Amino acid sequence: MVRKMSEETTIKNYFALINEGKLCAAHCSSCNELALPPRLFCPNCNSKTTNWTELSGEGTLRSFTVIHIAGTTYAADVPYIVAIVELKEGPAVCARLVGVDPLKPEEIHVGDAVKADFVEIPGPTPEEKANRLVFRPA
Amino acid sequence: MAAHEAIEEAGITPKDVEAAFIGNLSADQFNRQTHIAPLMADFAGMKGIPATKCEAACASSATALRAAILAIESGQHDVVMAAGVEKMTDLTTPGVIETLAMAADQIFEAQPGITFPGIFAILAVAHMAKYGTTKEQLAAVAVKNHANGVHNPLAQYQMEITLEKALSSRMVAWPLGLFDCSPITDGAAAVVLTKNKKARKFTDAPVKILASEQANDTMNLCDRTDLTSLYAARTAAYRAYKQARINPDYVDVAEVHDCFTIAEIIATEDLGFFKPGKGGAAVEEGVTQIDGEVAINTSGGLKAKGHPVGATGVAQIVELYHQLRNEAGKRQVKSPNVGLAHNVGGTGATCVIHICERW
Repeated sequence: MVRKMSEETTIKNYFALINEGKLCAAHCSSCNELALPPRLFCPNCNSKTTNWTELSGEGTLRSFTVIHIAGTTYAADVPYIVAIVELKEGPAVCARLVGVDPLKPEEIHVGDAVKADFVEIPGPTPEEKANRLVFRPA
Repeated sequence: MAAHEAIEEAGITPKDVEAAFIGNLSADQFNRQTHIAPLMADFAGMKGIPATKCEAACASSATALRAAILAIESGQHDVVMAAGVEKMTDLTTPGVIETLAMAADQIFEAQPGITFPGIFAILAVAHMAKYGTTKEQLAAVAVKNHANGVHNPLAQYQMEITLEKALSSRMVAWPLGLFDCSPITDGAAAVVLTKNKKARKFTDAPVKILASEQANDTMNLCDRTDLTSLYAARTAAYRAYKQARINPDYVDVAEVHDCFTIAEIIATEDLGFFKPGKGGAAVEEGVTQIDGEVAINTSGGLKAKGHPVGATGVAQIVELYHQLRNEAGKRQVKSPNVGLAHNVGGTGATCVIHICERW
């Protein structure tokens, strides 16, 4: 079966799904592995039987930090929180944590429940605006 | 300059060097200069030789050293230079932070706004949550390494700092403050290698490389279930101990990759010097001081000696060379026999371990 490129578990399609407000992982129908970041081949069994599956967006904090000194691109955003979130379905993602005070990090704990959300970030043109995956306290 | 000194130390001339492997992370971003290996070899007076750049983020020059070792072991060459160079101060601090972040996954880690201090801060938070490691223990690494750096004339910072000063420094990536971070550094390092059989022709006190091992790990932190340890470091160390036929107890002096204070604590655990979670207490108790059970970062480490990223791996070997020859002056460990270098690239996606012996 020839698959449409728009359905392939590519990074480009991952971000297209994020823009639709969907957090998806590449699911392998051969071994049931969930890959995030997505891959064209299953990282577990190497088969090419990967398809998108939407995740609940529910997870817990595996770890986090508060960035006070950023690179040029994000210098205006400081202080901001970057977290590693372990999703209910298994895989983890790296994303911003919003809705909590970055100046009170002692109030945030490894294991805290969080939920995915999407915030719009402006693009160079109105058509190029995009969603960014973030997490909020659940 | 480093290449010149290494050639002089070996008692040879640049024309005797048959090949050069040069570690460099990003002269293209830092200095708008690519093709750095022939440039460096040219300025060191070496012409007509294969001069090759090796890049593995902050482990670049350890991979250059490994390539040089393999070039000798293969029988291709007898006298090879391994070097590293980085000139980081041409960029502003945000520019350096952005350039270094290129060694993390651009799409899945750098886009959310992670920085290198941020990556190691994430490891620190995980280590603190799992083992109760404290900010005081992190600061103790900086205090120790600064104390060692005082005795290293080549260190960037030859000054002691107090625990109070380390703890009160401005925040970079919580919980890591400025004194938890290695500095932005210009620097270079070089060593000359030869076959074991020929070593005595050049010096009465050669240092023998017993093991050279390298391993990788997932690029993304989110693909690792354990954020309190580096799999690449554990894997490379296991293989290196096996290759050298020793265990961690044999190591007298180690240069480990303390790009951030937490990285030294994790390194001493990954290398088997201390049990997981005990690295913080060990540094606090002085076990890793120059006169301790296992001397860690006698050079001052990346923290005080400086961290010219692409030069760091070979700079570690230069320190071990002097330690194993008993010529490290006031920072000399008492008659060490075995030294270990632990060089980490990026988020720990690369780790290179070398084990050396006084011969």
